[in-house]
Amino acid sequence: MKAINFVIVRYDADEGRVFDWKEPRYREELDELGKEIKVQEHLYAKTLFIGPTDSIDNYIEVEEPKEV
Amino acid sequence: MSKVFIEETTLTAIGDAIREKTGKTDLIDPANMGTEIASIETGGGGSELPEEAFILTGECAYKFYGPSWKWYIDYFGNKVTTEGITNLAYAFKNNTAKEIPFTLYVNKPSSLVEAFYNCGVAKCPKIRGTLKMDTSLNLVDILTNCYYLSDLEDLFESSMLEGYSNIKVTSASSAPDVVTFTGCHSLRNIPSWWYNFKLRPDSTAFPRYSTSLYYKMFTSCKALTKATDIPVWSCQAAQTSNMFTNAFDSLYSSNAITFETNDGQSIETQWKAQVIDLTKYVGHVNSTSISGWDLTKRVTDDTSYQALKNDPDWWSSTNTYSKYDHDSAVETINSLPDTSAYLATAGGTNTIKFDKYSGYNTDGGSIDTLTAEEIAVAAAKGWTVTFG
Repeated sequence: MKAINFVIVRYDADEGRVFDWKEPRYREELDELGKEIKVQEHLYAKTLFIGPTDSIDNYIEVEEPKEV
Repeated sequence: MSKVFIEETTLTAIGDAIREKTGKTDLIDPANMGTEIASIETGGGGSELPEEAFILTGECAYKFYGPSWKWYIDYFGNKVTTEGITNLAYAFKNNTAKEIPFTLYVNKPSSLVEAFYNCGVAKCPKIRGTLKMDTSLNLVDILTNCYYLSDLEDLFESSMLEGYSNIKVTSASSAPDVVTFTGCHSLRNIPSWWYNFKLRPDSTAFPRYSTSLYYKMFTSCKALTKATDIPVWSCQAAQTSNMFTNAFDSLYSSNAITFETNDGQSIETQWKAQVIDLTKYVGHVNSTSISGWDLTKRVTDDTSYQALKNDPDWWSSTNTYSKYDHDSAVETINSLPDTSAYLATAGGTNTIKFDKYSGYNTDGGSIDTLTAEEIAVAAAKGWTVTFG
């Protein structure tokens, strides 16, 4: 679904899917042994409101993760 | 009662023993010996410890580390005086004492890292004196997991931190710290001294780890009612790694999260790739009961909401009765720093994530009732708004 109002564009992910960043993002964390590891961060959003500084091209739709 | 005979020397020996313990010199009537013996303090009351044992000064790193030092603070805390402490690193870490009844007078301590980490104090400790207002100021995790502290106003005097904004920093690897409140479960309000962690407009000062300025800043501050006027920090160079990981997780009681502004005008800053995630139990609890919280104040339906909504201690375990609602989101959006000018040249995005059903059944309304105009305020400042 797509809607335009003012300078924002709304995008809704399809049923069972969510938006994630197209370019993977990582943060650094310490594991149990105190060693630095890279952990991927995810957006996992159902709806995006994108303004003039962003683009839908920066996102991809992925399967909605199952809650643990 | 029968009468007995006793040698005079025996009575004298008993009297001498009593006088040795009480410090008195008078002769004791045998009829009063029982009373005298009963009045003798057990454990000696500290009289066997030298006076130096009650003076804390200089190097105090690890001084009362661990639960095994609780006895000293409980039993002798009121006798302790402090002066010129130069290091408080880990000093009370894991100590289970409920109160530190003596003021900690410091003289430019080399470190306060984890000073009260995971300690049991419920009454705010007091640090007074002079801090090092330079790049070596080390406050990492000073209050992390201080579960029982509800009020931190008395920890520092604001005057102790007034020089912070004048600290000159020339490299990212060497910068002063800020105080974070990770795991301060009982904290109700942000103390006023915390707002001294500010930058001059032209300052290059920034906290130590540039990628973690706000990292876990308020994680599990379950009782914090508001996280407002949060200082807008930035690095010497532009901030291009997310600083906000877990910053606002489990703010169960908060109805307001805002950044500082200049008289209502958003502050311009060079941020990108920032993700402010307000979807993880902001304004509501993640279980149906929580230790120490009044179950009679729990909102479960509209009847209980109407009955309790004006009670400052009401809480809910469902997002539909979250304290953080549409009106809260508008406040947050309006205070977001303005990153648009920077992003226009540098590219990239910033993101703010909301739980769209948060506040659905409250007077403030659901977050997904944000209007296009309200969302556009965020977009105009370079923030992509998302609903989880």
